[in-house]
Amino acid sequence: MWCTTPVLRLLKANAIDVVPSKGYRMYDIEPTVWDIPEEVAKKYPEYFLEEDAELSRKGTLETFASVVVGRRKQC
Amino acid sequence: MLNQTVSPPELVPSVYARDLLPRVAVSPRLVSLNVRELFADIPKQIYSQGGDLSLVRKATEDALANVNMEKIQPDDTVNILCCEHSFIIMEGEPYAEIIRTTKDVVKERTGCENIRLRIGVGVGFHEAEELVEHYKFDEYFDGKTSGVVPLDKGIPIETEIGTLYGVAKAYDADKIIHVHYDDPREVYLHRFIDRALKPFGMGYARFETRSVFHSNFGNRSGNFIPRAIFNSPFVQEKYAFSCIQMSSPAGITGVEADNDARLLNRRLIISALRSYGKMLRLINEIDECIVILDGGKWPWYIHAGGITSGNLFKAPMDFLDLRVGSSQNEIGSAFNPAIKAVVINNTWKQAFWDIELRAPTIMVGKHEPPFFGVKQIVTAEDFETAIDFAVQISETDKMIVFDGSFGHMNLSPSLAEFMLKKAPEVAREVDEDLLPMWLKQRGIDPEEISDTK
Repeated sequence: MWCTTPVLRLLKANAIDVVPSKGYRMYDIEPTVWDIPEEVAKKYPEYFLEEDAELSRKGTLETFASVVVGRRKQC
Repeated sequence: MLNQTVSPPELVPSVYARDLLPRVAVSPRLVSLNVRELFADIPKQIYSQGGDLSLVRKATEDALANVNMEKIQPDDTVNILCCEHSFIIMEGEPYAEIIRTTKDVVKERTGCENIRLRIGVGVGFHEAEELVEHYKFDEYFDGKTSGVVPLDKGIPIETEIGTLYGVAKAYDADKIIHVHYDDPREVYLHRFIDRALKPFGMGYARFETRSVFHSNFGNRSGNFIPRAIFNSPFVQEKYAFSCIQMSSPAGITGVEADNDARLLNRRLIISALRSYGKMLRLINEIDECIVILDGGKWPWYIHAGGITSGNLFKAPMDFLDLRVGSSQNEIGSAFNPAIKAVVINNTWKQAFWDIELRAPTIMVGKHEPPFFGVKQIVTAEDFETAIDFAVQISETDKMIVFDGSFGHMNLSPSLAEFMLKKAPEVAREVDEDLLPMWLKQRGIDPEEISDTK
């Protein structure tokens, strides 16, 4: 369940509408570090938001999920 | 200096646990090492395993005496929010006592009767029910208890970075009280940036929000998720105060409470870095070892000398150093190369625990698929046989047992001697260089706090 957001992004990138079913099985959710508004990133420097956004743009942002996927791949 | 092994905390029964096996601490090849033999300045505990819970109650009452409770009205509903992890610490008794005391004090000072308990959990969906039963919380809270499961109905929370989702049951009251703990459980994730608020983005959050934390942010920036939720008008309208169990590798050192979460977080950080910094640094020094898991929670979260197993798995990188960032080049697939083998005795069964893919793993007793990697784990009839095999394949006799202990570690004499030899240099390095650096990185002037306890 930790990988829900990458799956949602993958679907949306392929122009697939994500329409959550009735009830509370799943909610659509958007926030990412690379979409943080600039004023928010500057307001909270202690969270390294700008630095991680830059890493994400380079494709080298380490996330919990990428660690797990990386391990599986190596093995 | 090296003593007979110390009996670890009892294991709280759980549907997630393996069938109970004899505890490893009975092994004659192990010894115990008091954490103060390593670092004499580890803060003194008010409570250790089997101690006097009235001291925890008194510390909670004293901490709450300075909290403003005017926000809570007699006819309000109030949710006390807590999380499952701290119930592993010394059988969970001190944390349970802090929760009970908080309820009593709030009722006495505000006249509020409708106080409920909400227990946040992760992938153990039945864990809260087990905790309610074990600690008899239903009797204490007149049946007004509930788990907060990440798949439960959510509630949208508008934040500075968009909509995030909490679990509705955590917030289904007029006011909320946050009862938390400070142990360094996952330094590699929370980084002691906003440790006091972490559950707002995890324990009290829907799984989509947890996914945002884990997949859309790095290990430093992810700590903004709980802060964004906590800062939201929705949470601020309900939030009354926080109460936190403070600890050191020796045990429970006290209780802190405050209406101001930022001030509380600052006190938590100062205390935790001072209390745990040297032990965390010392385990980074271990050059080779066999890890033995013998506790009553998920494999990453079992203590030895107050340090959780996950922090050794992720060593030797210093995750207290905020210069360590989120670059894959820095920490991608980091797993401690010093761990030469893992012995699984008592622990909970975790489907996505992947250590068996990273180090030779021996399971005591029967194999228990589908919870662990089927092909990667071998079994042994008893823990002595498992340890013999681990020593043989790893060519080291340095062993550390994660069995839930605070105050001491059960380990092999060879590892104890290694740690005793390393400790003085680690202490000097932390006192002179690292602690001042860690504090400065978090906006805290070491000189300013040098006289505080």
